[in-house]
Amino acid sequence: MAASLPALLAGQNPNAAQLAAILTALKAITNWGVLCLNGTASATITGSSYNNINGGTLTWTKNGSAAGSDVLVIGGMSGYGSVSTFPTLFGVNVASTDYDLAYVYLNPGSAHCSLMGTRVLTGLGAGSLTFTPRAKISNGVGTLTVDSNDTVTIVVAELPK
Amino acid sequence: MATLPSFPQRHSPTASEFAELTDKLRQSTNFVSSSQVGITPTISATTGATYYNINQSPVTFTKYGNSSTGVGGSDVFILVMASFYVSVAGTSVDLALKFTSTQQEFVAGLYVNVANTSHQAFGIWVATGYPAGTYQLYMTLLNASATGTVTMDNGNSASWFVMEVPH
Repeated sequence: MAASLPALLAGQNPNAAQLAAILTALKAITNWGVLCLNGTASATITGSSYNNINGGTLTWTKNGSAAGSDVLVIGGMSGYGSVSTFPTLFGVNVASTDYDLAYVYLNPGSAHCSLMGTRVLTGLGAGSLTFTPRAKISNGVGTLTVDSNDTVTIVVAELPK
Repeated sequence: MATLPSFPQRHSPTASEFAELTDKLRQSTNFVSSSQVGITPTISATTGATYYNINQSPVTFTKYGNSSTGVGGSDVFILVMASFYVSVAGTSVDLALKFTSTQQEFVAGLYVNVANTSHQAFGIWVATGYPAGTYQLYMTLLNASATGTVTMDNGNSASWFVMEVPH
């Protein structure tokens, strides 16, 4: 969905509100945040509930209100499971809510694999937001490990309405 | 990179110059996306002639720019990622984005050496030459080798987004 922008008529000088709408859209589309943990993430995760991947979080300021803009999230991780056929979910936690991003069965045990996904988050208000990378094991069996041989990445961008 | 009007000193932008700015802004904010964590129903791609829809319902994308390479035209930036597994080692798997029943953009391919092991492919592409209008988008899967079965099920995921890039 594209931003709602003013229609300017021939011979019309834009008023302050119209210029403000243009500047608001410009500010939003240049508002990107990036977290890249390249070899600095760590996690030892068991169970079927989301747990934090340690090493860092992304703090980012959303300019628009919940009605004014959404948030595009692109994220990925690598890691390995302790057993074969290991159903792994990667997601992010924002404002106390977990959002699934990617789901892959890591079939070989003890072999690093990667997974990534993207989605649009709606209903987040303006202000400072903290994105925490998280993971869980769908069937709760075994241990998921993220170590110095792995990468965890999150990219966010504001999508004005 | 978009071509923007230049404003000489003490020049009041005309309505058409502002319109050009707002058109490009509108296009630059024009994103759609789709995300599926767990693929249902299961997709089993066998034939090498059929692209299988991954998202079961289309995602509507309205393109504002025309198909030209100059001012007024726009391209479409595409990012796709999906996981799957194959039944026969040495199977090529393609991911594409379908704009119409006859127009698809190949975005990612992966040669899967190991059978019955989930892998993830991802890719980035810029599609050109599409006219302005409304498109019903699907991400699609092809068993490019036409051997065995390429499967996406509730242990896999698929996500993608597109955005308009003004000239």
